[in-house]
Amino acid sequence: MKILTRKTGWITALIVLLITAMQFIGQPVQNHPATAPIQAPDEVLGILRRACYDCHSNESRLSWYDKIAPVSWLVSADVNEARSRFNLSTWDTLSPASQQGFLWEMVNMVLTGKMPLGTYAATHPQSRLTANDITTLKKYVNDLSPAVYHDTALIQQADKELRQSREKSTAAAGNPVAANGVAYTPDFRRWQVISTTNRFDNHSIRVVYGNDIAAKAIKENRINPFPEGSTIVKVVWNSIEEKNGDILPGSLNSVQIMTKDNKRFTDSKGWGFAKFNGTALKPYGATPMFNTTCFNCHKIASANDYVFNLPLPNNELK
Amino acid sequence: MKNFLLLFLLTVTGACSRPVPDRQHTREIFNAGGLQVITSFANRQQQTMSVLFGNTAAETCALGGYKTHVPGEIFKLVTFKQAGNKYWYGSYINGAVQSIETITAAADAPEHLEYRLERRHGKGRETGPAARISYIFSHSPSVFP
Repeated sequence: MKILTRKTGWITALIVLLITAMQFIGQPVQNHPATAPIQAPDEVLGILRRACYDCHSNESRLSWYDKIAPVSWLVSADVNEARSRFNLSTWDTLSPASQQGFLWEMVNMVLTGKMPLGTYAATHPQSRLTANDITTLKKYVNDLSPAVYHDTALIQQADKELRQSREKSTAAAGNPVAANGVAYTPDFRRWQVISTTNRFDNHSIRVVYGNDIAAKAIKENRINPFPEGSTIVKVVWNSIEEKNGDILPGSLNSVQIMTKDNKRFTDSKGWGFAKFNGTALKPYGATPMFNTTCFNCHKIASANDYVFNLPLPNNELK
Repeated sequence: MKNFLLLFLLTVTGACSRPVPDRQHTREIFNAGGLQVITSFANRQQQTMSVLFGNTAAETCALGGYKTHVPGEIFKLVTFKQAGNKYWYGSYINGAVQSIETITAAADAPEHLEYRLERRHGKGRETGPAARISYIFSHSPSVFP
């Protein structure tokens, strides 16, 4: 009996020692000063503070158990990841276009149930957004992205690009390659059009193409995952919008590519992304890290192997 | 008899192992028959989204402002119903095909254009061929790299 008690004592001491030692491993969450915080109406700020600030700002409020390893390690990893995506305490250092893009992404992350993270919401029920919260956020982002009808600057730019295209007066952009190795290909124009979209958040109109592998996979419903070699190209034009509801393609915004190469793009479920801007097809992203930015946003469409614009299944056609 | 039984078994097992097409979850892609995109446009009030396809002759004609027609030109305007994109609030995506309109230039008299409405669902398009041709040709080609 004495031996058993001594053994239990040793084990308990060892566990306490181990847990104590764990507290010295890893960097706990640090709250740096909020140097350029987001400016928004009070009702929007209230939602952001309640649902987003603990991870996406320098004002993380941690519970006592969040500070104890190993929980603190997980919390620290989540907060660092969240702040690297966007930080509401340094928000005003972002360009207006980036801010707008992130705000629409936030709304969509919430609408598709990706945010707040399930593990966080389980222990922080106040972070869950109500229908009213979502309405408030939708109104906020819509107000930030108003339509400009019959935008003459955009019309003139579109006319100029069309004229240059007719006269073939712009130098051929060749086949540029993005920093992650994904190359532009002009072949997409002979591929099948899989869908067309237009957006009122960033005012664009698009045509989406799939190569033979991608188109066949879509038709046969073999999209989870898409087969190796599938390539999808989206051509994006800035849209000219008219009061009568017309949405017309204006200047060329970009050509965007996603291609499935499971060996090269192991961190993004096999997808390599690329974006070539304007008629000059200037590659977006100075380093291969941009691939992560693209993939992070595409996580919203994880149910479709990260592809946003698939044609609707027959049961959703009305 | 033995052979008949064998054939019967093979047929039955073959039928069972063949995957049953799931029409509900199948996705259809409009087959443009090798034609390429000339332009695309939409109308949010009418809740329609359209893609104008064409062959090489049609593309050249469109780039020239639809002024000169050559034999063999084929234009095909596909109009879809607009649908919400459930993966991105802020985006619309094409739904079901509403209509397919084709314009061809006659082989012997290319200035004579033939208009054909291949499919039409729901209300709309009470205007005649000339008005439709004029409407379709009012759309400048999109700028491609």
